[in-house]
This record gives sequence, structure tokens and C-alpha cells, in this order.
Amino acid sequence: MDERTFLNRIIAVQHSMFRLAKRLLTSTEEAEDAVQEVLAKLWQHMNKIATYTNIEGYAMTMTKNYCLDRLKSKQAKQLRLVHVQHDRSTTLLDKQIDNRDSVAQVFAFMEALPEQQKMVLQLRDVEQYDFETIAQIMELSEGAVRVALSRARKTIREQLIKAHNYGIETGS
Amino acid sequence: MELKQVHKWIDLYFEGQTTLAQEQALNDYFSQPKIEKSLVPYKPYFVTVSQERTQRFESGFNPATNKRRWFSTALAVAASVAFVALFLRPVQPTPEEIVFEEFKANMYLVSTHLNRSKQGVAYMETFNQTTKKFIKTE
Repeated sequence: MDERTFLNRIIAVQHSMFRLAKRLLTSTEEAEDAVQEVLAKLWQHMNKIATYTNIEGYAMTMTKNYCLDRLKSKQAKQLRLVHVQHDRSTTLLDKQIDNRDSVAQVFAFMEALPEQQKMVLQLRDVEQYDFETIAQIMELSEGAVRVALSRARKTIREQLIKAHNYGIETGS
Repeated sequence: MELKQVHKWIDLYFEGQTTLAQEQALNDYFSQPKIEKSLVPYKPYFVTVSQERTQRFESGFNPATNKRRWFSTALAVAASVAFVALFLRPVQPTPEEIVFEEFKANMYLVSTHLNRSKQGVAYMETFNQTTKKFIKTE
């Protein structure tokens, strides 16, 4: 595979990688660094990767694993804490401005999900991958992916309804 | 899309039983401004998700800058290793240097003693002057 083909295929998947990294690491800078790092690794092993059939899936799996490693390391945990605090203040502000259609609130719901469910939800609802691809990326069986997805969506549904009713009850 | 169908699919959706095509149809339904009242609670989720989809990796991948970044890191590491090697290396003194250091230490000793005796002499002079003032020897 020459450099041009590699770059073309990477351009197609890099935004998805970034979104997944951001979902996991929360901070934009961290996510950008993670994607840059994973892409550099892919670049170095270009010839080996050329033999793989699903480069996009492989890139996503690498992103997932890299981000999970980052989360495990102490440094990332500290960064995450700082960022969560920062997020909370904007969520409060958003709530005051617009309680019902608050995107930030939904973000908070997604944020609270367990990591695996979070990732499956991201890959299905944002990236719109089919179950086979998600199973490949997540290194899980399709059944496990379906279970994680339905659990994640159920939690989100409950919270959406709760938030909506709360808005009505307080009359705002 | 019929409302009845939307209701059916939204239930399937939250069970995780919908196909990608059905999910796309739901996305389309929620992207329009008029939504049936009982479906309003779900709107924020679909809005969030479609907004999320527009996020881009702004910095983009550039293998050239990436290589340069590697290179500069390597350079920095090499420089710091060289620095450590140069300045923290245990120095083995030559015999001349040892003699010189010993001589220097001795000279310091001499000079401190000399200074102290000089102070003593100065004190003696003042003592002489004052005694001369009070004790007149004529």
C-alpha cells in the first residue's frame, strides 16, 4: 500500500476515531493527541496493515484500546477530573437557559454509562456501524454488543423521560 | 413516516432491535420541527447524536509534521543525554591538579592568618594612640 492509499483510507476514518476518543477521554486535546498517536502507529506499520481486510475497523479498535489505556493511567484520571468539573458548570448554565432540549444533559447521561455501553452506543448511534463491525471493533460477540446496546438505550430512555417529566413538574 | 410506525420503532429502538435503516428513519423523523407530544422526550437524544456526528478531527493527520515531531523529540533526548554525560561525569584529577589544589588551600590558610594578625596590629595601634591621649609623658 502506498502512502496515498493509506492517507485516503485514514481520512475516511479519522473523524470517527476522534469522536470515539472524545467520548472516552472527554477532553478535546486528549482525544486529538490520542488519534494523532494511533495514526502515527498505523503509519509506521503501513506495510503490515496493508494485509488486513478491514483497516477502518482495525484503526477503531486501536483507538479504543489506546484510550482505555490512557484512562487507566493516573495522569489521564486527573485530567478527566478537572474536565468533569468544568463540564458541570456548563451543564448548569445550559439547564438554566433551556431545560428540555438540553444537549449537555444528554451528554451527561451518555457520560454516566459504563465504558463498554458508552462505546457501543457511540459506534451504533453516532457512527451508525452495523453489528458485525461493532463486534469486530469492540472485540466482542455480536450478541454481547446487542445486549450492551439495549442496556445503554434503556438507561438513556429512562433518564430522558425522567428529565422531561421533571421539567413539566417544576413548570419551567 | 406514519406515527404508528414511529411509536412501534421507537420501542424497538430502545430494546436495541431496530435495523440501521429504521434508525435512520427515526433520525429523520426527529430532525423535523413538528413532533408528536408523547415523542418529545426522546428528541434531545436524537438531536445530540446527530450533532455529535458533525464533530470533526480538526488538526488532521500529517505524516510530515509527525516525523518532525519524532525527530525533535529524539534530538532533545540526545542533547540531554550528552549534557548529563558531560557535566555529571565523575572527574579524575591529574597529579598537577591535586598539587595545585593543596597549594591553594595552604595559601588560603596563610591569608586568613595574615588578615587576623593584621587586625591585631591595627588594634595595637589604636590602643597606643588612646593611651598616649590619657597618659601624658612629659
